[in-house]
Amino acid sequence: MPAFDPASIDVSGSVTLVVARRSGHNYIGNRIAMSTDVANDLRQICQETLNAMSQRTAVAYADDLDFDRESHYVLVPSSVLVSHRPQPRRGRRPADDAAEVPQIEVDPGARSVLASASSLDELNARDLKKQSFTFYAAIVGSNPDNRVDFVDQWNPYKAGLSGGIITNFGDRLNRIEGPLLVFERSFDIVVTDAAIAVLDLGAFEGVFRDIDAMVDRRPTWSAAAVAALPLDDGTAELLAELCDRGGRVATQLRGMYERGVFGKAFTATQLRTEMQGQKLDVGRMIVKGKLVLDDADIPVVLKLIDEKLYTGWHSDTPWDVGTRSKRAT
Amino acid sequence: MTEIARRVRLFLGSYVLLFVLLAIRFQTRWLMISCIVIAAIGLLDMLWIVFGVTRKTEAEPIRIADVTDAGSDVAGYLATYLLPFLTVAEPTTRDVIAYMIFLLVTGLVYVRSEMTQINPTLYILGKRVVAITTDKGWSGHLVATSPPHVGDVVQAVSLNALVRVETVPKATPT
Repeated sequence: MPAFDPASIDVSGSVTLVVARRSGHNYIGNRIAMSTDVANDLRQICQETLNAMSQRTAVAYADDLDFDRESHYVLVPSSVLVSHRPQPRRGRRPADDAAEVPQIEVDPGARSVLASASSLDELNARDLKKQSFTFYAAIVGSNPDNRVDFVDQWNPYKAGLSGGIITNFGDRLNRIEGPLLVFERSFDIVVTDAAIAVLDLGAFEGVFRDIDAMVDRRPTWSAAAVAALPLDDGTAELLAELCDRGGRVATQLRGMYERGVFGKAFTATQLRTEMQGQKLDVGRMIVKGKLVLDDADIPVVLKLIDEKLYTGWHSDTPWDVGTRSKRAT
Repeated sequence: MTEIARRVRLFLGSYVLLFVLLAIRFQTRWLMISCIVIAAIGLLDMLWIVFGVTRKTEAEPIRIADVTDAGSDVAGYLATYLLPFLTVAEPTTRDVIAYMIFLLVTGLVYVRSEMTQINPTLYILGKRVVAITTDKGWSGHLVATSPPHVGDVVQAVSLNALVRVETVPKATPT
Protein backbone atom coordinates (compact mmCIF):
# COMPACT_ATOMS: atom_id res chain seq x y z
CA MET A 1 0.00 0.00 0.00
CA PRO A 2 1.32 3.47 -0.83
CA ALA A 3 1.83 6.28 1.63
CA PHE A 4 -1.67 7.65 1.89
CA ASP A 5 -2.72 8.86 5.28
CA PRO A 6 -6.07 10.66 5.35
CA ALA A 7 -5.25 12.07 8.77
CA SER A 8 -2.21 13.90 7.42
CA ILE A 9 -4.06 15.78 4.66
CA ASP A 10 -4.52 19.46 5.39
CA VAL A 11 -7.68 21.07 4.02
CA SER A 12 -7.05 24.60 5.27
CA GLY A 13 -5.64 25.93 1.97
CA SER A 14 -7.38 27.68 -0.90
CA VAL A 15 -10.31 25.86 -2.51
CA THR A 16 -11.07 25.82 -6.22
CA LEU A 17 -14.47 24.51 -7.26
CA VAL A 18 -14.58 22.74 -10.61
CA VAL A 19 -17.43 21.20 -12.58
CA ALA A 20 -16.82 18.92 -15.56
CA ARG A 21 -18.99 17.60 -18.35
CA ARG A 22 -18.43 15.17 -21.16
CA SER A 23 -17.95 16.45 -24.67
CA GLY A 24 -17.52 13.42 -26.91
CA HIS A 25 -14.77 11.36 -25.32
CA ASN A 26 -13.24 14.33 -23.51
CA TYR A 27 -13.98 16.28 -20.38
CA ILE A 28 -14.58 20.01 -20.41
CA GLY A 29 -13.94 21.54 -17.01
CA ASN A 30 -14.94 24.93 -15.67
CA ARG A 31 -14.05 26.81 -12.55
CA ILE A 32 -16.78 28.40 -10.44
CA ALA A 33 -15.97 31.43 -8.31
CA MET A 34 -17.47 31.14 -4.85
CA SER A 35 -17.76 33.04 -1.62
CA THR A 36 -15.61 32.11 1.34
CA ASP A 37 -18.74 30.80 3.12
CA VAL A 38 -19.27 28.15 0.46
CA ALA A 39 -15.53 27.39 0.41
CA ASN A 40 -15.59 26.82 4.17
CA ASP A 41 -18.58 24.48 3.81
CA LEU A 42 -16.72 22.51 1.14
CA ARG A 43 -13.63 22.37 3.36
CA GLN A 44 -15.78 20.95 6.11
CA ILE A 45 -17.11 18.26 3.76
CA CYS A 46 -13.55 17.48 2.64
CA GLN A 47 -12.54 17.02 6.27
CA GLU A 48 -15.54 14.77 6.93
CA THR A 49 -14.60 12.67 3.89
CA LEU A 50 -11.07 12.27 5.24
CA ASN A 51 -12.46 11.37 8.67
CA ALA A 52 -14.64 8.71 7.06
CA MET A 53 -11.56 7.26 5.35
CA SER A 54 -9.58 7.31 8.59
CA GLN A 55 -12.24 5.07 10.14
CA ARG A 56 -12.00 2.56 7.28
CA THR A 57 -9.35 0.12 6.10
CA ALA A 58 -7.66 0.58 2.73
CA VAL A 59 -7.97 -2.27 0.23
CA ALA A 60 -6.17 -2.56 -3.09
CA TYR A 61 -8.20 -1.83 -6.21
CA ALA A 62 -9.38 -4.43 -8.69
CA ASP A 63 -12.04 -3.87 -11.31
CA ASP A 64 -14.08 -6.80 -9.97
CA LEU A 65 -13.47 -6.05 -6.31
CA ASP A 66 -16.18 -6.90 -3.83
CA PHE A 67 -15.68 -4.53 -0.94
CA ASP A 68 -17.66 -3.39 2.05
CA ARG A 69 -18.06 0.38 1.76
CA GLU A 70 -18.95 0.62 5.44
CA SER A 71 -15.57 -0.63 6.57
CA HIS A 72 -13.25 -0.25 3.56
CA TYR A 73 -12.07 2.29 1.07
CA VAL A 74 -10.22 1.46 -2.11
CA LEU A 75 -6.70 2.70 -2.68
CA VAL A 76 -5.14 3.03 -6.11
CA PRO A 77 -1.43 3.91 -5.94
CA SER A 78 -0.31 6.48 -8.50
CA SER A 79 2.54 4.13 -9.42
CA VAL A 80 0.12 1.69 -11.08
CA LEU A 81 -2.02 4.28 -12.84
CA VAL A 82 -1.62 4.35 -16.59
CA SER A 83 -3.04 7.19 -18.59
CA HIS A 84 -0.73 7.13 -21.59
CA ARG A 85 -0.88 4.92 -24.63
CA PRO A 86 1.59 2.00 -24.51
CA GLN A 87 2.31 0.26 -27.80
CA PRO A 88 0.24 -2.90 -28.28
CA ARG A 89 2.20 -6.14 -28.39
CA ARG A 90 2.51 -7.87 -31.76
CA GLY A 91 2.18 -11.66 -31.83
CA ARG A 92 2.14 -14.10 -28.94
CA ARG A 93 4.10 -13.52 -25.75
CA PRO A 94 7.28 -15.64 -25.53
CA ALA A 95 7.18 -18.21 -22.74
CA ASP A 96 10.21 -16.69 -20.98
CA ASP A 97 8.92 -13.10 -21.21
CA ALA A 98 8.39 -11.44 -17.83
CA ALA A 99 4.77 -10.77 -16.90
CA GLU A 100 3.65 -7.14 -17.04
CA VAL A 101 3.38 -5.12 -13.85
CA PRO A 102 -0.27 -4.85 -12.76
CA GLN A 103 -1.68 -1.52 -13.82
CA ILE A 104 -4.90 0.43 -13.71
CA GLU A 105 -5.91 2.42 -16.71
CA VAL A 106 -7.50 5.82 -16.25
CA ASP A 107 -8.91 8.33 -18.65
CA PRO A 108 -6.36 11.19 -18.61
CA GLY A 109 -9.17 13.70 -19.18
CA ALA A 110 -10.38 13.83 -15.58
CA ARG A 111 -6.87 14.18 -14.16
CA SER A 112 -6.09 16.90 -16.67
CA VAL A 113 -9.16 18.91 -15.59
CA LEU A 114 -8.21 18.55 -11.94
CA ALA A 115 -4.55 19.45 -12.53
CA SER A 116 -5.44 22.70 -14.26
CA ALA A 117 -8.31 23.64 -11.94
CA SER A 118 -7.22 27.22 -11.16
CA SER A 119 -6.61 27.96 -14.82
CA LEU A 120 -9.87 26.61 -16.22
CA ASP A 121 -12.29 29.02 -17.80
CA GLU A 122 -14.73 30.46 -15.31
CA LEU A 123 -18.34 29.41 -15.62
CA ASN A 124 -20.94 32.16 -15.57
CA ALA A 125 -24.52 31.60 -14.51
CA ARG A 126 -25.72 32.45 -18.00
CA ASP A 127 -23.46 29.71 -19.44
CA LEU A 128 -25.14 26.98 -17.37
CA LYS A 129 -28.09 26.57 -19.74
CA LYS A 130 -28.98 22.87 -19.72
CA GLN A 131 -25.55 21.48 -19.00
CA SER A 132 -25.29 18.09 -17.38
CA PHE A 133 -22.12 17.76 -15.35
CA THR A 134 -20.48 14.39 -14.78
CA PHE A 135 -18.72 15.43 -11.62
CA TYR A 136 -17.66 18.33 -9.48
CA ALA A 137 -14.52 18.66 -7.41
CA ALA A 138 -13.06 20.80 -4.67
CA ILE A 139 -9.34 21.20 -5.21
CA VAL A 140 -7.72 22.14 -1.93
CA GLY A 141 -4.32 23.66 -1.23
CA SER A 142 -2.50 26.95 -1.61
CA ASN A 143 0.52 25.42 -3.33
CA PRO A 144 -0.38 24.67 -6.96
CA ASP A 145 2.11 21.78 -7.02
CA ASN A 146 0.63 20.01 -4.05
CA ARG A 147 -3.14 20.25 -4.09
CA VAL A 148 -5.59 17.53 -3.10
CA ASP A 149 -8.66 16.85 -5.22
CA PHE A 150 -11.98 15.87 -3.66
CA VAL A 151 -14.21 14.52 -6.39
CA ASP A 152 -17.92 13.72 -6.38
CA GLN A 153 -19.76 12.06 -9.22
CA TRP A 154 -22.81 14.25 -9.02
CA ASN A 155 -24.38 16.93 -11.17
CA PRO A 156 -24.78 19.97 -8.92
CA TYR A 157 -27.12 21.51 -11.48
CA LYS A 158 -29.47 18.51 -11.33
CA ALA A 159 -32.11 20.46 -9.44
CA GLY A 160 -31.96 23.20 -12.05
CA LEU A 161 -32.50 20.67 -14.82
CA SER A 162 -35.49 19.06 -13.14
CA GLY A 163 -37.82 21.74 -14.47
CA GLY A 164 -39.51 22.05 -11.10
CA ILE A 165 -40.28 25.33 -9.39
CA ILE A 166 -37.64 25.99 -6.75
CA THR A 167 -38.81 27.98 -3.76
CA ASN A 168 -37.56 29.18 -0.44
CA PHE A 169 -39.91 28.89 2.54
CA GLY A 170 -39.19 31.93 4.68
CA ASP A 171 -42.08 33.86 6.16
CA ARG A 172 -43.82 32.87 2.94
CA LEU A 173 -42.96 30.78 -0.09
CA ASN A 174 -40.72 32.72 -2.46
CA ARG A 175 -39.51 31.64 -5.83
CA ILE A 176 -35.71 31.30 -6.07
CA GLU A 177 -34.51 33.11 -9.15
CA GLY A 178 -31.41 32.10 -11.03
CA PRO A 179 -29.69 28.73 -11.34
CA LEU A 180 -29.43 26.58 -8.25
CA LEU A 181 -26.40 24.39 -7.58
CA VAL A 182 -26.73 21.67 -4.96
CA PHE A 183 -23.71 19.83 -3.53
CA GLU A 184 -23.62 16.54 -1.66
CA ARG A 185 -22.55 16.13 1.96
CA SER A 186 -19.60 13.88 1.08
CA PHE A 187 -17.05 13.29 -1.65
CA ASP A 188 -16.56 9.96 -3.42
CA ILE A 189 -12.88 10.17 -4.29
CA VAL A 190 -9.74 11.82 -2.92
CA VAL A 191 -6.83 12.31 -5.32
CA THR A 192 -3.32 13.05 -4.07
CA ASP A 193 0.07 12.81 -5.76
CA ALA A 194 0.57 9.42 -4.14
CA ALA A 195 -2.76 7.74 -4.69
CA ILE A 196 -6.43 7.85 -5.49
CA ALA A 197 -8.56 6.90 -2.51
CA VAL A 198 -12.10 5.82 -3.30
CA LEU A 199 -15.18 5.58 -1.11
CA ASP A 200 -17.55 4.89 -3.99
CA LEU A 201 -16.18 2.46 -6.56
CA GLY A 202 -18.95 3.29 -9.03
CA ALA A 203 -17.91 6.94 -8.96
CA PHE A 204 -14.29 6.01 -9.66
CA GLU A 205 -15.32 3.87 -12.62
CA GLY A 206 -17.63 6.61 -13.87
CA VAL A 207 -15.29 9.57 -13.54
CA PHE A 208 -11.84 8.10 -14.20
CA ARG A 209 -12.52 4.89 -16.10
CA ASP A 210 -15.55 5.46 -18.29
CA ILE A 211 -15.14 2.70 -20.87
CA ASP A 212 -16.82 4.81 -23.54
CA ALA A 213 -14.14 7.47 -23.19
CA MET A 214 -11.16 5.12 -23.36
CA VAL A 215 -11.43 4.50 -27.09
CA ASP A 216 -7.70 4.79 -27.70
CA ARG A 217 -6.94 2.00 -25.26
CA ARG A 218 -9.27 -0.65 -26.69
CA PRO A 219 -6.87 -1.94 -29.38
CA THR A 220 -4.23 -2.48 -26.67
CA TRP A 221 -6.56 -4.67 -24.61
CA SER A 222 -7.81 -6.73 -27.52
CA ALA A 223 -4.27 -7.13 -28.90
CA ALA A 224 -3.11 -8.43 -25.51
CA ALA A 225 -5.93 -11.00 -25.48
CA VAL A 226 -5.20 -12.07 -29.06
CA ALA A 227 -1.53 -12.52 -28.14
CA ALA A 228 -2.31 -14.62 -25.08
CA LEU A 229 -5.07 -16.86 -26.43
CA PRO A 230 -5.08 -19.49 -29.21
CA LEU A 231 -7.78 -17.76 -31.25
CA ASP A 232 -8.49 -18.50 -34.89
CA ASP A 233 -8.23 -15.48 -37.20
CA GLY A 234 -11.98 -14.92 -37.41
CA THR A 235 -12.39 -15.01 -33.63
CA ALA A 236 -9.44 -12.65 -33.17
CA GLU A 237 -11.09 -10.17 -35.53
CA LEU A 238 -14.45 -10.58 -33.81
CA LEU A 239 -12.90 -10.04 -30.39
CA ALA A 240 -11.18 -6.86 -31.57
CA GLU A 241 -14.42 -5.66 -33.11
CA LEU A 242 -16.47 -6.32 -29.95
CA CYS A 243 -13.81 -4.58 -27.86
CA ASP A 244 -13.85 -1.62 -30.22
CA ARG A 245 -17.56 -1.21 -29.64
CA GLY A 246 -16.92 -0.72 -25.93
CA GLY A 247 -19.38 -2.15 -23.44
CA ARG A 248 -19.11 -5.52 -21.72
CA VAL A 249 -16.29 -7.15 -23.69
CA ALA A 250 -14.11 -4.02 -23.51
CA THR A 251 -14.67 -3.82 -19.75
CA GLN A 252 -13.80 -7.51 -19.34
CA LEU A 253 -10.66 -7.22 -21.46
CA ARG A 254 -9.52 -4.08 -19.65
CA GLY A 255 -9.89 -5.73 -16.25
CA MET A 256 -8.04 -8.86 -17.34
CA TYR A 257 -5.33 -6.81 -19.02
CA GLU A 258 -4.82 -4.74 -15.88
CA ARG A 259 -4.67 -7.78 -13.64
CA GLY A 260 -2.00 -9.34 -15.81
CA VAL A 261 -4.16 -12.25 -16.98
CA PHE A 262 -2.81 -11.87 -20.49
CA GLY A 263 0.72 -12.03 -19.14
CA LYS A 264 0.32 -15.80 -19.47
CA ALA A 265 0.06 -17.71 -22.74
CA PHE A 266 -2.94 -20.07 -22.65
CA THR A 267 -2.86 -23.33 -24.63
CA ALA A 268 -5.78 -25.07 -26.28
CA THR A 269 -5.12 -28.10 -24.03
CA GLN A 270 -5.45 -26.01 -20.86
CA LEU A 271 -8.60 -24.38 -22.11
CA ARG A 272 -10.14 -27.67 -23.26
CA THR A 273 -9.70 -29.19 -19.81
CA GLU A 274 -11.22 -26.19 -18.04
CA MET A 275 -14.07 -25.86 -20.54
CA GLN A 276 -14.96 -29.54 -20.06
CA GLY A 277 -14.96 -28.94 -16.30
CA GLN A 278 -17.45 -26.08 -16.75
CA LYS A 279 -19.58 -28.09 -19.20
CA LEU A 280 -19.00 -25.73 -22.14
CA ASP A 281 -19.38 -26.97 -25.72
CA VAL A 282 -15.71 -27.80 -26.28
CA GLY A 283 -16.27 -29.61 -29.57
CA ARG A 284 -17.72 -26.46 -31.12
CA MET A 285 -15.47 -23.92 -29.43
CA ILE A 286 -12.09 -25.56 -30.02
CA VAL A 287 -11.36 -26.62 -33.58
CA LYS A 288 -7.92 -27.79 -34.69
CA GLY A 289 -6.28 -26.40 -31.58
CA LYS A 290 -7.85 -22.93 -31.97
CA LEU A 291 -10.70 -21.19 -30.18
CA VAL A 292 -13.56 -20.62 -32.62
CA LEU A 293 -16.07 -18.40 -30.86
CA ASP A 294 -19.14 -16.36 -31.73
CA ASP A 295 -20.42 -13.09 -30.16
CA ALA A 296 -22.14 -14.89 -27.30
CA ASP A 297 -19.21 -17.23 -26.57
CA ILE A 298 -16.55 -14.55 -26.16
CA PRO A 299 -17.75 -13.04 -22.84
CA VAL A 300 -18.25 -16.56 -21.45
CA VAL A 301 -14.78 -17.80 -22.43
CA LEU A 302 -13.22 -14.60 -21.11
CA LYS A 303 -14.95 -15.27 -17.78
CA LEU A 304 -13.63 -18.83 -17.85
CA ILE A 305 -10.09 -17.56 -18.37
CA ASP A 306 -10.63 -14.95 -15.66
CA GLU A 307 -11.57 -17.74 -13.20
CA LYS A 308 -15.10 -16.45 -12.82
CA LEU A 309 -16.95 -19.62 -13.75
CA TYR A 310 -17.09 -22.50 -11.33
CA THR A 311 -19.35 -25.36 -10.34
CA GLY A 312 -20.75 -25.68 -6.84
CA TRP A 313 -19.12 -28.68 -5.17
CA HIS A 314 -22.33 -30.10 -3.70
CA SER A 315 -25.12 -28.46 -5.70
CA ASP A 316 -23.37 -28.85 -9.06
CA THR A 317 -24.63 -25.35 -9.90
CA PRO A 318 -22.72 -23.59 -12.68
CA TRP A 319 -21.91 -20.28 -10.92
CA ASP A 320 -20.96 -17.07 -12.70
CA VAL A 321 -19.01 -14.66 -10.48
CA GLY A 322 -19.47 -10.89 -10.75
CA THR A 323 -17.42 -9.32 -7.98
CA ARG A 324 -15.02 -11.13 -5.69
CA SER A 325 -12.50 -10.57 -2.96
CA LYS A 326 -9.37 -12.55 -2.33
CA ARG A 327 -9.61 -14.59 0.87
CA ALA A 328 -6.82 -14.73 3.41
CA THR A 329 -4.90 -18.00 3.24
CA MET B 1 -24.92 40.28 -8.79
CA THR B 2 -25.10 39.56 -12.51
CA GLU B 3 -22.10 40.00 -14.76
CA ILE B 4 -23.76 42.94 -16.56
CA ALA B 5 -24.50 44.72 -13.28
CA ARG B 6 -20.92 44.22 -12.17
CA ARG B 7 -19.58 45.62 -15.43
CA VAL B 8 -21.85 48.68 -15.16
CA ARG B 9 -20.54 49.29 -11.66
CA LEU B 10 -16.95 48.87 -12.81
CA PHE B 11 -17.61 51.32 -15.65
CA LEU B 12 -18.96 53.85 -13.21
CA GLY B 13 -15.92 53.24 -11.05
CA SER B 14 -13.58 53.75 -13.98
CA TYR B 15 -15.04 57.23 -14.52
CA VAL B 16 -14.61 58.40 -10.93
CA LEU B 17 -11.68 60.63 -11.86
CA LEU B 18 -13.63 62.17 -14.74
CA PHE B 19 -16.53 63.10 -12.47
CA VAL B 20 -14.11 64.63 -9.97
CA LEU B 21 -12.57 66.70 -12.77
CA LEU B 22 -15.97 67.71 -14.06
CA ALA B 23 -17.07 68.71 -10.55
CA ILE B 24 -14.03 70.98 -10.35
CA ARG B 25 -14.66 72.43 -13.80
CA PHE B 26 -18.45 72.93 -13.73
CA GLN B 27 -19.74 76.13 -12.25
CA THR B 28 -23.39 75.22 -12.37
CA ARG B 29 -24.19 74.17 -8.82
CA TRP B 30 -26.53 71.22 -9.47
CA LEU B 31 -24.13 69.80 -12.04
CA MET B 32 -21.19 70.14 -9.66
CA ILE B 33 -23.09 68.40 -6.84
CA SER B 34 -24.31 65.65 -9.21
CA CYS B 35 -20.74 64.93 -10.32
CA ILE B 36 -19.47 64.84 -6.73
CA VAL B 37 -22.25 62.40 -5.75
CA ILE B 38 -21.60 60.15 -8.79
CA ALA B 39 -17.83 60.22 -8.12
CA ALA B 40 -18.35 59.35 -4.45
CA ILE B 41 -20.72 56.48 -5.27
CA GLY B 42 -18.33 55.19 -7.95
CA LEU B 43 -15.32 55.39 -5.66
CA LEU B 44 -17.04 53.67 -2.74
CA ASP B 45 -18.36 50.98 -5.03
CA MET B 46 -14.88 50.41 -6.49
CA LEU B 47 -13.45 50.15 -2.99
CA TRP B 48 -16.13 47.59 -2.16
CA ILE B 49 -15.55 45.56 -5.33
CA VAL B 50 -11.75 45.59 -5.15
CA PHE B 51 -11.34 45.14 -1.41
CA GLY B 52 -14.70 44.02 0.04
CA VAL B 53 -15.89 41.52 -2.55
CA THR B 54 -12.42 40.04 -3.02
CA ARG B 55 -12.18 39.49 0.72
CA LYS B 56 -15.45 37.55 0.63
CA THR B 57 -14.46 35.49 -2.40
CA GLU B 58 -12.34 32.36 -2.20
CA ALA B 59 -8.83 32.81 -3.58
CA GLU B 60 -7.09 30.32 -5.86
CA PRO B 61 -3.37 29.76 -6.42
CA ILE B 62 -2.10 30.43 -9.93
CA ARG B 63 1.47 30.23 -11.21
CA ILE B 64 2.46 33.00 -13.59
CA ALA B 65 3.99 31.90 -16.89
CA ASP B 66 3.92 35.23 -18.71
CA VAL B 67 3.40 38.87 -17.67
CA THR B 68 2.80 41.99 -19.75
CA ASP B 69 2.00 45.41 -18.37
CA ALA B 70 -1.45 46.60 -19.40
CA GLY B 71 -0.86 50.24 -18.43
CA SER B 72 -0.94 51.44 -22.04
CA ASP B 73 -4.58 50.32 -22.36
CA VAL B 74 -5.44 52.50 -19.40
CA ALA B 75 -3.53 55.45 -20.88
CA GLY B 76 -5.59 55.10 -24.07
CA TYR B 77 -8.79 54.96 -22.05
CA LEU B 78 -7.80 58.17 -20.25
CA ALA B 79 -7.87 59.92 -23.62
CA THR B 80 -11.66 59.55 -23.58
CA TYR B 81 -11.58 61.79 -20.53
CA LEU B 82 -10.43 64.72 -22.69
CA LEU B 83 -13.55 64.89 -24.80
CA PRO B 84 -15.80 66.42 -22.11
CA PHE B 85 -13.25 69.21 -21.60
CA LEU B 86 -13.81 70.43 -25.16
CA THR B 87 -17.09 71.92 -23.99
CA VAL B 88 -17.80 74.86 -21.78
CA ALA B 89 -17.62 75.14 -18.00
CA GLU B 90 -21.23 76.20 -17.80
CA PRO B 91 -22.91 73.74 -20.15
CA THR B 92 -26.33 74.31 -21.59
CA THR B 93 -29.02 71.64 -21.47
CA ARG B 94 -27.91 70.53 -24.94
CA ASP B 95 -24.30 70.17 -23.71
CA VAL B 96 -25.43 68.06 -20.75
CA ILE B 97 -27.48 65.82 -23.05
CA ALA B 98 -24.43 65.44 -25.32
CA TYR B 99 -22.27 64.50 -22.28
CA MET B 100 -24.83 61.92 -21.24
CA ILE B 101 -25.01 60.39 -24.71
CA PHE B 102 -21.22 60.25 -24.82
CA LEU B 103 -21.10 58.51 -21.44
CA LEU B 104 -23.90 56.16 -22.42
CA VAL B 105 -22.13 55.05 -25.59
CA THR B 106 -18.77 54.71 -23.79
CA GLY B 107 -20.51 52.72 -21.07
CA LEU B 108 -22.22 50.50 -23.60
CA VAL B 109 -18.91 49.68 -25.27
CA TYR B 110 -17.29 49.10 -21.86
CA VAL B 111 -20.00 46.75 -20.64
CA ARG B 112 -20.33 44.81 -23.88
CA SER B 113 -16.61 44.29 -24.44
CA GLU B 114 -13.85 42.86 -22.29
CA MET B 115 -12.61 46.14 -20.82
CA THR B 116 -13.03 45.51 -17.12
CA GLN B 117 -9.30 45.61 -16.60
CA ILE B 118 -9.06 49.10 -18.14
CA ASN B 119 -9.80 51.16 -15.08
CA PRO B 120 -7.78 54.26 -14.08
CA THR B 121 -9.39 54.22 -10.63
CA LEU B 122 -7.57 50.98 -9.84
CA TYR B 123 -4.30 52.86 -10.26
CA ILE B 124 -5.58 55.60 -7.96
CA LEU B 125 -6.31 52.85 -5.40
CA GLY B 126 -2.67 51.73 -5.59
CA LYS B 127 -3.25 48.77 -7.87
CA ARG B 128 -1.70 47.86 -11.19
CA VAL B 129 -3.14 45.85 -14.02
CA VAL B 130 -1.04 43.29 -15.88
CA ALA B 131 -1.93 40.84 -18.63
CA ILE B 132 -0.93 37.34 -17.54
CA THR B 133 -0.86 33.75 -18.72
CA THR B 134 -0.73 30.98 -16.15
CA ASP B 135 1.35 27.82 -16.45
CA LYS B 136 -1.85 25.89 -17.22
CA GLY B 137 -2.88 28.21 -20.01
CA TRP B 138 -5.38 30.70 -18.57
CA SER B 139 -4.94 34.17 -20.07
CA GLY B 140 -6.46 37.31 -18.64
CA HIS B 141 -5.68 40.30 -16.46
CA LEU B 142 -4.46 40.47 -12.90
CA VAL B 143 -5.05 43.42 -10.62
CA ALA B 144 -2.10 43.44 -8.24
CA THR B 145 -0.33 45.76 -5.84
CA SER B 146 2.91 45.09 -7.69
CA PRO B 147 3.44 43.17 -10.93
CA PRO B 148 4.27 39.50 -10.37
CA HIS B 149 7.26 37.79 -11.93
CA VAL B 150 7.28 34.70 -14.11
CA GLY B 151 7.16 31.65 -11.85
CA ASP B 152 5.50 33.46 -8.96
CA VAL B 153 2.51 31.81 -7.32
CA VAL B 154 -0.24 34.34 -6.75
CA GLN B 155 -3.37 33.86 -4.67
CA ALA B 156 -6.09 35.55 -6.68
CA VAL B 157 -9.86 35.86 -6.69
CA SER B 158 -12.05 36.13 -9.73
CA LEU B 159 -13.55 39.51 -10.51
CA ASN B 160 -15.02 38.04 -13.68
CA ALA B 161 -14.07 35.43 -16.27
CA LEU B 162 -11.08 37.43 -17.51
CA VAL B 163 -9.95 39.49 -14.54
CA ARG B 164 -8.52 38.33 -11.24
CA VAL B 165 -7.49 40.34 -8.22
CA GLU B 166 -4.43 39.39 -6.21
CA THR B 167 -5.10 38.79 -2.57
CA VAL B 168 -3.12 37.55 0.38
CA PRO B 169 -3.80 34.10 1.81
CA LYS B 170 -6.53 34.38 4.37
CA ALA B 171 -6.72 32.56 7.67
CA THR B 172 -9.19 29.70 7.55
CA PRO B 173 -11.52 28.87 10.41
CA THR B 174 -10.72 25.48 11.92
